[in-house]
Amino acid sequence: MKLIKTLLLLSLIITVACSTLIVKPTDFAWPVETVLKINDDGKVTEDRYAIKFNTKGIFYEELNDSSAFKNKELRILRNMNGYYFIISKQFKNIYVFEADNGALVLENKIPVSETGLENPALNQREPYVELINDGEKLLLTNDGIYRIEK
Amino acid sequence: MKQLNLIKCMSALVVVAGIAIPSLAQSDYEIVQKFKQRYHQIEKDIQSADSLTELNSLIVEIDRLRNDNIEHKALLDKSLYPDNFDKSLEKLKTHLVIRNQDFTTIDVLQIDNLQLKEQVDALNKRNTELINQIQQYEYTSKRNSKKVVELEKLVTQLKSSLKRRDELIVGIVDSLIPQLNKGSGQLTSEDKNNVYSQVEKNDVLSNVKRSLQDNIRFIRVTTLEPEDLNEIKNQQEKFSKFWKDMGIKLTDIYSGKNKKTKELKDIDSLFSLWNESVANEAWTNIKVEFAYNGIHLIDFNNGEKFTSVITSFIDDEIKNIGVKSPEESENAYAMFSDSTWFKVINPKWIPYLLESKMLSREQKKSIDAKIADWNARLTPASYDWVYILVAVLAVVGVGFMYRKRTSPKTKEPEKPPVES
Repeated sequence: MKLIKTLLLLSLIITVACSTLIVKPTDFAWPVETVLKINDDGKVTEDRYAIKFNTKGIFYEELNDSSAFKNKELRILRNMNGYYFIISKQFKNIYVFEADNGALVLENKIPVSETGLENPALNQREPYVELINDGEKLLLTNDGIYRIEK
Repeated sequence: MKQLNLIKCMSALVVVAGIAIPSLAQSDYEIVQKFKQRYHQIEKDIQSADSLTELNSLIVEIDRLRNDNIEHKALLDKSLYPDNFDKSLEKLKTHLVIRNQDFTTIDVLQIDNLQLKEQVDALNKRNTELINQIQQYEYTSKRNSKKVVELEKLVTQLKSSLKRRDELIVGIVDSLIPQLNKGSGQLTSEDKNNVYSQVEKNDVLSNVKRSLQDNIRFIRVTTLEPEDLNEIKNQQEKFSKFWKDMGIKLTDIYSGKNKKTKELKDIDSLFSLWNESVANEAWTNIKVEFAYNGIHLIDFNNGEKFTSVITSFIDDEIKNIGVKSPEESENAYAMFSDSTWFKVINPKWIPYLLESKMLSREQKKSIDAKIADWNARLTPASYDWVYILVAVLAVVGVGFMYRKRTSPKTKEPEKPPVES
């Protein structure tokens, strides 16, 4: 009985010592999307939110061509949960990334068009991200399409 | 019938709504960008507004920008980092107020200029009248002491009037083109055009030219004293300095405008002429002083020539001693030396010439020595009669003594003894 009591106390101490501090809720939402010009090396830089990365991988994933980024713009919007929604013209999918240890890790690839988007834009509509394309609207979460509005 | 109309209206509304709905799907990014574009356009228009009216019309634009975007205020508040919707519009209004002050200042300067220009015009007229009056007095009434007093009064008036006009011209340029005095920064072509139109509007070049011509004319029609010339020299230095600063900048502004470039060159020539006139005025007046006493010298316009002319005049007079009657020689010396040189030239003009470096100390010494020599050569002639008298007396004395010595000694007859 004494041993059990000691083990319980020890496990409580260990649990308290190892628990992670969580600040919740945290709103990561950008008020408005950012439209970034891709440079010759395929990189984009966002000054206000201080993020830069290479887009070649995304274009290769979407168009099977890592040089397709040339003369393109990338639209990025971060939602309240901290996921990055990334889209560009002619994309059939919207890419949802999560920031993780110096990398953008693909969380989800949401199919949004069969032919490719002509004039996509992202709006912050908390708790969703709104994708508009020539009058059509989609409400998205990091898990996928929440609702289609026409 | 009424029901039919109602159906028609409702159908129309549905159609309108159908068209309107897609347009509602607007990108937030686009809204923000459009706001920013209009903001920057208004900001630019404020800066480039040419008049107060144009500027005031932008107040309406700012209000319109507010009204058109008020429904997106929440989005814009978040997106216009580091400002927000209200702060951005406030900023525009502040720009507007600041620019408004520029116009108010320009207005005040323009009013000032208008007044200055009127004064310059009045002074131009007045100066011409004074110069003409002085010219008449100089020609007709120089010997009339009453008129001379009036003439001096007129000259004083004209002198201060010319000075005032020069100051006004400098004032006009200063107030018109403050950007010219801002520093060494290059003026944009817009600045240059602005300055050009302002300079033209205010007849700056004509007035500078007019001022120089009057100053030259003033020197020509008046007989000035060294103090006057010193004063004019100071005024000349100031005005020349002003023109040196402005002239270069104006030449730059006027480059490519041929007719006006010529006018700028004319002004440069007039400045040279003015300098020359002031320098010559002293020599001319010295010559006039001699002539006033009947001594007519040939022209001179520098220290070397002056020394040479005076020296050769004295040399001639020295040569003429014995040719001319003694009275004539003495009279010439008296008029030159006593009535002109020591009475007027030496006390009045020599210090000015030395100070202005128009005459060197060596040249002055050489003239003094020459006058002393002339005096020395004249002096023996004046006392000849004493020498002659002394010589005559000496001769008489010697003759008398000689006669006394050489006359035969006669024995005095012996007195016969007196018999008692």
